[in-house]
Amino acid sequence: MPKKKAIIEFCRVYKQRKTAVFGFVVVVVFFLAAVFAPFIAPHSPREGSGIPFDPPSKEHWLGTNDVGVDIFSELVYSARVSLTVGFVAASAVVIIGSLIGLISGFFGGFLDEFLMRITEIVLVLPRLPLMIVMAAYLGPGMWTIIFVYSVVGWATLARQVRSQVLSVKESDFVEASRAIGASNSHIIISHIMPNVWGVIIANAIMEVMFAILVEAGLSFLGLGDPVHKSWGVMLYFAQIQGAFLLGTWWWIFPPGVCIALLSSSFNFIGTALNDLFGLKLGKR
Amino acid sequence: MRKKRALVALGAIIFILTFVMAFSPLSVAEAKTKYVVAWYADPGAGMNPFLARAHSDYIFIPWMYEPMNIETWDGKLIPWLAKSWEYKAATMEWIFHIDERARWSDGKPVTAEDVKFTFDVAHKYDAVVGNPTKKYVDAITVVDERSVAFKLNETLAAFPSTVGQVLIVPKHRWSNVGDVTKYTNPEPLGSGPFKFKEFKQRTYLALEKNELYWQGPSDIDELVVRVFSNMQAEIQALQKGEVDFIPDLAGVENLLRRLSADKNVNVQMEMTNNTFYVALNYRREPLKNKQLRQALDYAAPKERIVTIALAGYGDLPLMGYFAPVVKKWVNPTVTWEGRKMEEEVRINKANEILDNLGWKKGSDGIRVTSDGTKLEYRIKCMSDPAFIRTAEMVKDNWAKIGVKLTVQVHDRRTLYGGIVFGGKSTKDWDFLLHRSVLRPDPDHIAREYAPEPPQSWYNATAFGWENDEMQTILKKSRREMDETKRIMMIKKFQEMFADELVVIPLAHKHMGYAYRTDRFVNTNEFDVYTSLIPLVNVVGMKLKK
Amino acid sequence: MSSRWLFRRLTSGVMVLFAAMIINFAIPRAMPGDPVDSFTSGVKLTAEARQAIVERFGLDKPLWVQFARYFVNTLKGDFGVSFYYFPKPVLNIMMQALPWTLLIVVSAMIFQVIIGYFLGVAAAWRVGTRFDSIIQTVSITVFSSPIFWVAMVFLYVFGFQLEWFPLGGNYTAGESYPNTFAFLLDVMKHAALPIATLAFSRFAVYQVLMRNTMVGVLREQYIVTAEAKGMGQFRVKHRHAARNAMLPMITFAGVSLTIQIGGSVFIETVFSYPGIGKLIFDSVISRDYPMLQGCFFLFSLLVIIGTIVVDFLYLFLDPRIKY
Repeated sequence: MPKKKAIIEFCRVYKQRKTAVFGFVVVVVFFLAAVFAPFIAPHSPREGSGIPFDPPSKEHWLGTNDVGVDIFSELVYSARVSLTVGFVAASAVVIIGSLIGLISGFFGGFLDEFLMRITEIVLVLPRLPLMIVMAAYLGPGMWTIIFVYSVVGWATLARQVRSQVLSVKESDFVEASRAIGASNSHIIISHIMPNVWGVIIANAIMEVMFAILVEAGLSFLGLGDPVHKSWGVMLYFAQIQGAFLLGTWWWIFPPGVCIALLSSSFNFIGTALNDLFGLKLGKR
Repeated sequence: MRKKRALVALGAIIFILTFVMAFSPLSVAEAKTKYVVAWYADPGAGMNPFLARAHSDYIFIPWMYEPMNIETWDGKLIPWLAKSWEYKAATMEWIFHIDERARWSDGKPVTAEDVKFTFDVAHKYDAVVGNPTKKYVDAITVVDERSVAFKLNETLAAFPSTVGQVLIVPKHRWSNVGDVTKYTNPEPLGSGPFKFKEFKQRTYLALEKNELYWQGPSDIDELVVRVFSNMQAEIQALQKGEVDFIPDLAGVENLLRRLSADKNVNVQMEMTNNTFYVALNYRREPLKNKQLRQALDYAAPKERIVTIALAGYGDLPLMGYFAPVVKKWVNPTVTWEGRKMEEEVRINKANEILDNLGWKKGSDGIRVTSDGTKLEYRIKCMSDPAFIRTAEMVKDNWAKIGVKLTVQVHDRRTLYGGIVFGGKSTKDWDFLLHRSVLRPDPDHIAREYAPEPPQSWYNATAFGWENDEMQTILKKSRREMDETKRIMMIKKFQEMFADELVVIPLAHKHMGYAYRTDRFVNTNEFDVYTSLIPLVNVVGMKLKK
Repeated sequence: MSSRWLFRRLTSGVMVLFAAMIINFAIPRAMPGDPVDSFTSGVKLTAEARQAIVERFGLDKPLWVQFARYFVNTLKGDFGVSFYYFPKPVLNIMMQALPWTLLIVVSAMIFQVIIGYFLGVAAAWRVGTRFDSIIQTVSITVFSSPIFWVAMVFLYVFGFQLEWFPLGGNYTAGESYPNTFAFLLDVMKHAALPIATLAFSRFAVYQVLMRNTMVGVLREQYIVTAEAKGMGQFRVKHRHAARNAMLPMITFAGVSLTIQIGGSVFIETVFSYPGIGKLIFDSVISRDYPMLQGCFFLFSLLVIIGTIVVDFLYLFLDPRIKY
């Protein structure tokens, strides 16, 4: 089967990229950690299990925070929130973005003009301040962050999907299908979609990265849910509870390293997919 | 080519000139005593005392503007601009006598006219500071140059302490201002120990010594208040000697052990009338059940809240709302029954109480009342680490007695303004983790728990709490001019408050300040009500000889 | 340059501003409940104060009248009165903060371009080698690290541990300086860490772009010819190649301005730097909605001005381009 062959070929090329493989491994590890958090975390992620501000030791691998909570356990559980926000927000963005791009590119005309104008505006508006304003009104929380990211994040993808659709639309086989009277839905499903998938998948991966970063950022500003901690919320607490002055590096470094590792892993994967699908680097 | 060279030469000349000018000294520095105060927030009100709403506004103003008197934590009133006051029961008049020495920094005396003007204007334009007095004052009259009479429309025992909340301004500078609540007061002139020099919003306030200060000029020539928004930087600056005084240490409790170890710094953390408690929404049916409240009280992890959430800077509470520090009014007998029991014992006891009520635990471990209500609630608190952590500890412990809590965190304004206390509050809450700093005079608690008329921002109204007997005592106490009788009433009220468990007190939180001891000696003998600590403290700071 | 191009640039800028206005107008009104509560987030208000807000925003009037009033006010630069700094107007406070934000953002961008340029050229020159791939990996990793965390680490290491730089603020408040130079030095010392953080965490975009463009340019014939002629390697690199690759970088500066300005919220919050970004953060804490909306509008305006300036710069630098 040619499809199977394509996948094998894809894997072969993918494996040659060390960073991409590394990224994949990291993502899998974090994902497993999040799912099996109760088995991995040695202590409770909420209740104190040691003395406050205890440096790393055998008992507490990454020390404890201001109320004696084991930071390693907190870190493992926090992966859940960060990954959830990352995937849910990215899915929302991908769905909105691809739909708008598809509609705009396929139907063209006034609708296209209108949607692309909106896209352009959303692209230019300073997105972080916009998200902050919206989140401030909606009140802090995980779903607020997911919502504001979805509202603001779809434009890049919409534009890329649209240009991809446009290039496919002009191709001979679409013209041919049209000539023999194929319906719009048929053309979209059997001709357009197979050619747009690459853009969408590569971008979806990048969106997860951005969503994770946005979640961390907004949480750090105090717009996250302080009860269900993410890495961003951990850093928020570290900042206001005096981690700098007390020299508790074990509270400042690990959450940031986790965010950086996870998001750069998604970035590595995304870049690799972009290259493999022969696309240009997504501009942000 | 020539042109180019000429341009280069010109550029060089300009460059050198700027350089020379830049290095030339602006002013010859003199040996001046400078005192730097660190403050955690930007004063939203700026320099206008009529706009001061929040604690954070106060620090910037009382060095320039002063009150009539200052209330201390133990319940005493220290005369300040007013040297004495008396009450004429027949006419319901309070007469205040202004200290003859008091004068504005331009040399003019502080007169009865100034006092009358200040209060009249505050009442007329509904300034926040005038709210507590507005309702009770019928007319203000000038008796003589230094005496002013407030004619009240009813007896109010606490009137002198209420008056102290307003800072007096000079009439000769303010009479043409018009609406004082829309004025930025660019060049303040006051009676305080310091004169205005410069103010940069979000950055600093610079003051200089008022040589004419009526209590004798300060040892400090220049006073600078720096706005820090990073508490850790604030502490580091104090230790490095860049800052001399931090008037409020709230929120940095974690860092205090480190700070206390510094031999050049004195950390003053003391008990205040700051009570940390769980409030209940009495509109929720089973919460009216006193036995349930008792069980909840037993199961609250108060020791751990003190040691962990408050970082040790707190005490187990007295159950009558007043902290032991308010010596004049407190009833020290209403201690917490659970204080000598092990946590396990207390939880067993709480379970026992609920078992006796016949409220059985379901398969999910949550109790159900006899009429079928599941004990499943939300506890709301504001977004502050100490609050969030306390809420989580309470949640974990109450789970052990079959009461399920969900912690919900809001920002301060949404929580207090929109949900609990606001004019159009949704009242959509079950438990509220709250902290209130009550003024020492019991008039404050009387207003909160027996408001006349009920307003959404008073505790009793917000919590939906009513109790005829207790509220009558409170209302009577406000009008009782015999102090001994008034003290008796308030002590009785505390007993009933503890017995009823109107709220569940968790702790009395300490508050305090820190200052460097290598250059200055603190000569203050009393601890004052929070918002005026800076004033009193700086007045009391003497240069080391 | 055709006037049509200019017209298009300007109209799209105006449209974005219009969108920002609509967003600012709609958000508080879209919230459920009493609009006055939404404007003041339920703060205790006297009846008069309530009435004043209703009148000020025309909340009792039909929606289009409200919008017209809002629109005219915004054009006049009247963003309303701050809740926190009442009765000071929002514009007043914002204008005090703006220069500080511009100082760090513009300086940081200059550094980013320089770092990105040199690393990009170096990587492109050795395309496909180990050196190239290491630089790529580092760039991506740095770019994917949360900027506020980088700021925290910088502050922790260089501020708290090594004590090389001040821990926050824009200058030593209330200090009397012997001369202007001392003041400027103090300002630079305070701005150093914020600028360094911003430059460090965002140089990657320029680096990647520079490298990719350079690789393309290097393949072109004339470079090869120049090399054959025996021109020095440095001259080849920077005379021919870099000059061509500069253009896309400058265009990109316009795009990245949006991100930079957003990033200032984090940088200024961590370093307590009293610019617009910190103002946004403070307004979130105190729920000062008029201020928040004013800042959002100002940021939108900055971004548009920035993009247009970059467009003109591009036009000026590249004689081949005619719009």
